[in-house]
Amino acid sequence: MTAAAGAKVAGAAFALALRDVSVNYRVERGRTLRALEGIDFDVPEATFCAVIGPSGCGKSTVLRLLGGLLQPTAGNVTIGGRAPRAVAAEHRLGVAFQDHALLPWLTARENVALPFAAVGRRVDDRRVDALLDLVGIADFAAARPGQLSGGMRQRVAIARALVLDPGVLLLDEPFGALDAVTRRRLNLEVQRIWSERAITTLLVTHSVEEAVFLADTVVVMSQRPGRIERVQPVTFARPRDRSLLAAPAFHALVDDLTAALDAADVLA
Amino acid sequence: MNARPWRGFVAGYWPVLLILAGWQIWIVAGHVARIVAPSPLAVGREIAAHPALYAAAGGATLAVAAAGLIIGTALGCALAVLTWFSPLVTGMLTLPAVLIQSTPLVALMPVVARLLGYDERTVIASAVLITFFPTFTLIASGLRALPPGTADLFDVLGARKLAALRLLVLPSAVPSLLVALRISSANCILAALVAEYLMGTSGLGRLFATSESRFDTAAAWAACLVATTVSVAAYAASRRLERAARGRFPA
Amino acid sequence: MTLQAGRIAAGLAGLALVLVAWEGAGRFGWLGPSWPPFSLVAAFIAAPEHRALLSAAASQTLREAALGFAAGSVAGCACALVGVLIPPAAFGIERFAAIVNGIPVIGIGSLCAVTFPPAVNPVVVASLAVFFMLFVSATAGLQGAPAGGHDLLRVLGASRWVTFARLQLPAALPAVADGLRLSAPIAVVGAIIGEWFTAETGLGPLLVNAMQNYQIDLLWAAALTGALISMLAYLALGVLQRAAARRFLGQ
Ligand SMILES: Nc1ncnc2c1ncn2[C@@H]1O[C@H](COP(=O)(O)OP(=O)(O)O)[C@@H](O)[C@H]1O
Ligand SMILES: [Mg+2]
Repeated sequence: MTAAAGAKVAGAAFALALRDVSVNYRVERGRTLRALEGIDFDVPEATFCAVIGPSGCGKSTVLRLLGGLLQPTAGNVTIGGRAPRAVAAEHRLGVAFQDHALLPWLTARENVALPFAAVGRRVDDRRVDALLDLVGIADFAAARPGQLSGGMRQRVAIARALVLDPGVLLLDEPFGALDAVTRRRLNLEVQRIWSERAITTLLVTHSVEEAVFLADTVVVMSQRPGRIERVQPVTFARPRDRSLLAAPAFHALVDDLTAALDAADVLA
Repeated sequence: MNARPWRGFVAGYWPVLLILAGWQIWIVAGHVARIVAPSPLAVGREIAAHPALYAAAGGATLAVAAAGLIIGTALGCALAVLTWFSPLVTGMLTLPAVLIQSTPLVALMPVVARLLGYDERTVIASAVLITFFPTFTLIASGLRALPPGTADLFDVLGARKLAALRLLVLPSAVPSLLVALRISSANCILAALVAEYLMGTSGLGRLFATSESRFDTAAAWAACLVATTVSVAAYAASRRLERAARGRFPA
Repeated sequence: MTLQAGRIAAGLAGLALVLVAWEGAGRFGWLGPSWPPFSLVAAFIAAPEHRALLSAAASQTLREAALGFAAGSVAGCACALVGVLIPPAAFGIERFAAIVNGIPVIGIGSLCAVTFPPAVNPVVVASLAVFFMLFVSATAGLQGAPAGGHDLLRVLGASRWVTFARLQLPAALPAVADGLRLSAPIAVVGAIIGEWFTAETGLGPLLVNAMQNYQIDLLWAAALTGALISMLAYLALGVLQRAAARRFLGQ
């Protein structure tokens, strides 16, 4: 009982909260573009949240807010009640961007090990090797990004996001360039990692199946300016495996959310 | 391939032949007197007659120019990094740097020489000055051309500014450094030559000055030809370095 | 808006700092008697009789520098273009550019003097200096187009010309703008050196006379005037360069 309570207190460190958040981007000559409006949702500690929505609706903007890369124009963004920048300063955020952001002059292995150097820690070689293994690019450890396929680059980026054992994992369409088979395998791996380490995770994706398979909550966003169309809890038992993909309840939910997504797109 | 070895030679050296031919035509068609400009052949004979003299002078000029190149590049990089730390410093350094670059240094050579001494130090200083500015400008913009998303990555990781500088920003500027080297490696030889000439210290510049005062144009042009050759060789070397690094540091 | 104002303020602060140091060095004689304080040089320039002399010389030099700048940048860009559009010629053209750049001005100065009319000589020297800078930066820019763009256009079956116009040219513009900016001071210094050999008017002869007659005030005043015009040219081209970077690099 006390242990659970203690875990709860410590756990509050990584709950995500967006309170009535709006974001205006400044575009040319003092004009502004409203990218997000009245975004309000929570991702409780150690849960998995997936964000889906038409492209350009502001999904990456949500992720940038949580990474502390962007200040909201209005409203509040917190991680465990604190500003995202404070959490970043403690090196507890892991992130994989849409455009992988690998350093072209480093090998895959050096890219995965980069965060250690970036925050001034000694490189944990065993951990780097384990992660390269996990994402299935151990054989390409010595290759540079220019020699890797798009999917391989994204896998390197995911390994890099995990290497510092983050409390919050932010993933921006990380499987976009992957083939269906690899994607399913990595989905299972992500679920395994997530359940082992209890990382609060926010995944931006355009695949409804992926969102439903992985998430505890699916947030559906509408066309620009991005608003929340729906917050859908997903209650399938864990661990989830391939058999879920064939379950009628799974398909019903996917169809339902796809319809919501289409409606959100048309409304704009 | 081997049946026509001259083809490869022409492909690589037509500019040399073209310039030599242009030189000869200029002199013949323009009725240029021998005292103004010698023919290529006369210059070739002059070098062939005193190979050791020209090699020694070329080596001396190369050495001071290389010293100037190294110091100027280091200075340019160091100041460019300062500008990366603070936009205030950027603003403060830019105008003075342009001012120094814009000063007709040749004109102020007597002043510089008086400050640093009538010796190699002033020659090195003029090579430094010609190297410094392109390096500073190109590196300062190279430090801002980071691979997409990587600055955000370091931000989210909470990396220290120094770590970002070492791991991300400096490697990103390597292509700019290579272009700067390409420009400066050739030019610092010429800057050294002019300084040597004006002060009559040593190397090819002095050789040129003494030959000129004897009205020995063949010898004067021979000194210039050696300088051109060294400068082109320096350019080729920096180009090779750039090619080797391009694979690893794509621009 | 405020960023712009901050940058200008920082620039002026940096300039002021240099001027204060210059003034101090001159006033207290830290750098010897050939280093006058800034206020003295400024007063010299401002005196009505000198102002007319200096502004006539400066406008002459500026005209030559502008012509040389235009000719040199067109020639440099043209050579870079030929190298990119006709790949087999690329190596030779680059070597040609390196050789032309490597020819010492002091060597061919007298040859140019007998070949070109006195008014043209400074233009030629200025354009030679600009030529190489533009060649290097345009080549680097044209070769720096993203590989994905090349693949895309090849798949679309685009002609070499379309690839050039749609991909390589836009990608090269920021680098060309960088090169133009760096060349502005080089053109002015080149024109001054060109005037050295033949001209009777312009900043070059003024500098030579001042040097020979040991008129330190005039020497500094002429050098500062030259520095000021190239600095203004540099700043004007900086506006162009920033616009290019914004438009084509998304900075
Ligand atoms: N830095 C920026 N400046 C101006 N507009 C931006 C910027 N970043 C994104 N936008 C605009 O904001 C909207 C949301 O962008 P984004 O969050 O990237 O969408 P998504 O990731 O859902 O595709 C888009 O219309 C985009 O054009
Ligand atoms: Mg996005």
